[in-house]
Amino acid sequence: MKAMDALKEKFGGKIEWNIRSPRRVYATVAQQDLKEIVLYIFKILGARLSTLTSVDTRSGIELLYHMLTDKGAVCLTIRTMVKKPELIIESITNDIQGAEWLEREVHEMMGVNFTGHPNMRRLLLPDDWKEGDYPYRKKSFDSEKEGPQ
Amino acid sequence: MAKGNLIPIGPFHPLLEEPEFFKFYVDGETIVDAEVRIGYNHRGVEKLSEIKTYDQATFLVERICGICSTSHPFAFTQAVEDISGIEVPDRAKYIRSIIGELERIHSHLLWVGLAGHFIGYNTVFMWAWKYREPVLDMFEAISGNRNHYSMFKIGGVRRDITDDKRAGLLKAIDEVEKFCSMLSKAVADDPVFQARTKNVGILKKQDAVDMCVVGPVARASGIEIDTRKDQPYAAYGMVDFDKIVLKDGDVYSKAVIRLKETMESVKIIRQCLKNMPEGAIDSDPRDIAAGEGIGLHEAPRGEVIHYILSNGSNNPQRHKIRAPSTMNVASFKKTVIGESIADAALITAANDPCYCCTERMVIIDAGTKDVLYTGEELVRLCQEKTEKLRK
Repeated sequence: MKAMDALKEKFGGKIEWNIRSPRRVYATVAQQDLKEIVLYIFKILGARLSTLTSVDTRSGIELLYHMLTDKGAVCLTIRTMVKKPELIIESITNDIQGAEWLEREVHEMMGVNFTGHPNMRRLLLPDDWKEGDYPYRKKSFDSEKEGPQ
Repeated sequence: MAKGNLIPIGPFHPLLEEPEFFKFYVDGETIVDAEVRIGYNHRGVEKLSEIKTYDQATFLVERICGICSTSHPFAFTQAVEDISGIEVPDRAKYIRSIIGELERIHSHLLWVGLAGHFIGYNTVFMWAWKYREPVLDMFEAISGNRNHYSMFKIGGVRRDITDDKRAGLLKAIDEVEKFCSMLSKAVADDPVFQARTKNVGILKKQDAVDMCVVGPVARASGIEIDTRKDQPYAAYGMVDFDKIVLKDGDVYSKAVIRLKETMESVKIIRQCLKNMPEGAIDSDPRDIAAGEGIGLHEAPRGEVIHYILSNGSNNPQRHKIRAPSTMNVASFKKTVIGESIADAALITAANDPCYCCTERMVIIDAGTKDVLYTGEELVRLCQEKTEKLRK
């Protein structure tokens, strides 16, 4: 995996690797390093941003940037935790235009605030949807009860 | 208004699998700016999936799209199989590929027909849909349904393709192949068709990279991505076929790519039917381990990705779905600006998700709020332009 080798050389200890299979590689990074690493993979290594997944946890929202590296042969997932309750992370839309809708969706559904996003308006939810109600959050986490909603 | 007149397009049409609302700002006949609003059909499938069992979710995700209904179960089952390394029997892999390719054929033919209709070639519309029909009949013969085939399950497929189905299937795809080569000669080389589609709605390669577009839209702009080749899954690693890539990024390239891909699908199905081994069609897995998995599938419109986080129970803790149109629709702003209103119907059709909204197009004068054109008139406008060229 050329992309992984290049990243190991460039960022070294900033990335924690978890290689599930030759085609499925996960890398955990700190929030402050995320933008630099994702842009490096997109611009220098020529990968494509496939999608952005958000996972609700008790302490924060985990963001997973699924990127296809090595000419699409490897699905490299860069993951980072955005802490509650502020949920602030830098937007990548100004550098990767394809991320515009992905970030807007995460903002609406999970309440993550992407700073520097050029157009953070409603995309999917109706205009009269209640402010501050994020439908993809686990309501049980808010009330500290176990079990899925 | 500083931006000129506003043309709202959308949002609803009963035929449309993904309703969208386009706002085009026009100066005279030229589009100067565009905005897109989606979400009219957002059903919260990702959230709903969290309260369904894995077996139920397979049927749930099939209902996301009516036209390419196999795309989502294809990606979903692979994502679940990725979590705990569930093996799929070889015969099931071949059947999965056959279903995936049959679907590509009927989806591409549907698009070719509608594109023909928009530019006033109604014969193409009738032809394409005529040859699409036997493909749907084959789906009925194999699965019992013309659409929503419910063929997929985690660990395999639910129905076998028996020998008595094979002859009918081969006959259907033979006809499709004949039709596509005839259409390539009769229409794609037609000077009027070329005049209406060449250099119209161009998506430049760099823009396509920036917008992260997928599928035929990306391949028409010279980006060599095809999940079937890049990460061979199901039987795609065991059959021989070509990745079709063109450079120009215009409507013509998108049409040619779809016609050629249909021919490749025929090739794949023939090989699958020939090489399909005997044996089980289902490995019948019992438990889904805790962990996470990603499933990718090249749907007719491009790459579908499903991400599943499992906590070891019988329903997913998080299920993320990204359909190809999410990436492709967003590229609109790059393709329509600078084009004329008469071409808007065609360009919106060229990305495939949006042909139906064009019938809902309404042009409104921003100053007086009077409706200048209805959707039907826009299609007529588009067809008249072809008529003028013919003369």
